[in-house]
Amino acid sequence: MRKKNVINRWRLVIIILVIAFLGLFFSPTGFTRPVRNTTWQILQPIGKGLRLSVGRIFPFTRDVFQFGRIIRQNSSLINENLNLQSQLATMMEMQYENEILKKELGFMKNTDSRKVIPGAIIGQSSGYLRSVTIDKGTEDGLSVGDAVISQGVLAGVLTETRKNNSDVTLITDFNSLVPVVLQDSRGTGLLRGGLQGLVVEEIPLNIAIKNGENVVTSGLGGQIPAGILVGKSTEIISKEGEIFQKLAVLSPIDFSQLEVLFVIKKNE
Amino acid sequence: MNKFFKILIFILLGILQLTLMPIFSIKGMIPNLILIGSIVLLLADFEEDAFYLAAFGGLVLDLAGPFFFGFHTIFFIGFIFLIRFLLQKIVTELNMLLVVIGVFIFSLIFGVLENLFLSRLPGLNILIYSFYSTILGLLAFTFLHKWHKKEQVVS
Repeated sequence: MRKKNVINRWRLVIIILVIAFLGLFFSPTGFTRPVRNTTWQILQPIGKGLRLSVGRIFPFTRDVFQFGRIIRQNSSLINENLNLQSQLATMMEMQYENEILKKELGFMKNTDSRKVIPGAIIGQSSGYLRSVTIDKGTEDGLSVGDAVISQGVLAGVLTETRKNNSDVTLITDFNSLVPVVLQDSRGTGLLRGGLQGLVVEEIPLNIAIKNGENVVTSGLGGQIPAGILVGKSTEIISKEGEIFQKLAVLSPIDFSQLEVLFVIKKNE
Repeated sequence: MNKFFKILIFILLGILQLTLMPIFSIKGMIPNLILIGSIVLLLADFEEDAFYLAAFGGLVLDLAGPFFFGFHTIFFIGFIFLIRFLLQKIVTELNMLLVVIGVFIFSLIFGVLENLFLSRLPGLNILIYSFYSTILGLLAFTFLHKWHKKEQVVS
């Protein structure tokens, strides 16, 4: 009688546990992929709505308490802006000269056109995995390994694509590994995320790294196009006696305030 | 409160964990509302609700999560069973300190498990995760305690 009462009381919990174990048993069949796709499809409007409402208020209230940091950031951005304006003027001149020279030499027009697909973030499924779920999937032509940018800067790589949504592993994740090149010194390395921030590993010892030089994707491996900005080098963190150099990199992206990401799809 | 209504709230909590909590991440760490909630409910003497939250909330996380199906549900229910057993065998009186220790330790264990299933070694960020979870747990316990007292006075 007592046993029957216990079963009656915990009936629902037992049913859920049975479902969980059955799911675990049938996991190798791959049934979770369509289930996950449908779940995220259902959650999509809630996720977008919350990011547009609460998602805007929370960073604002957090910023109010970091007034000093914002003032410092503002003055450094003004300096950087002036610097970039002068660089832009020089570059425009060079581009003009380049176009004329190309015409003179009879070069073909650059045909490397990339398709950029915007995707809104709808949620995050794990507290440890630095990954977000976006509302675009294989139906929109996305495939695993595609580069994901925010404000023109590399933010991550697609690691799982489903019919209507996909998972993006951010470059800040420990398991993320992206081939990069240092723009001035031309040293190549591998960009890795983690608790200590973004780090470029395996830079050959003979490379003279400059402080504050741009780090861009090298295009090695094929899927991530070359030349996407990752960030600026801040300091060399490798110790004496190591066979490779290690470099800390600062990304201009605030990864806690991402809203819309852009997937770079290379034209086939 | 109606059981059906409670289950609906627990499912909603699971949905909020997936969609709202990433906004409140600190250093990339997102505390798990379902784990914190079920531990707090158990320690606040809402045993049945604790199991329901672990089961239904865990199931919602499994439907969207990156791990194998059942990961959250099985571990959450397992944790609640373990805490219930420890409470019956060791603890005589419930207090705030117990909430702090309970939420901190089980968040730490869950963090280690999550890291191991993601094929990585747990780093120091696991402490930030557990500390953040403990603060949320304390807030939830205080709220629940006051609400429970109010209900007792009314009835």
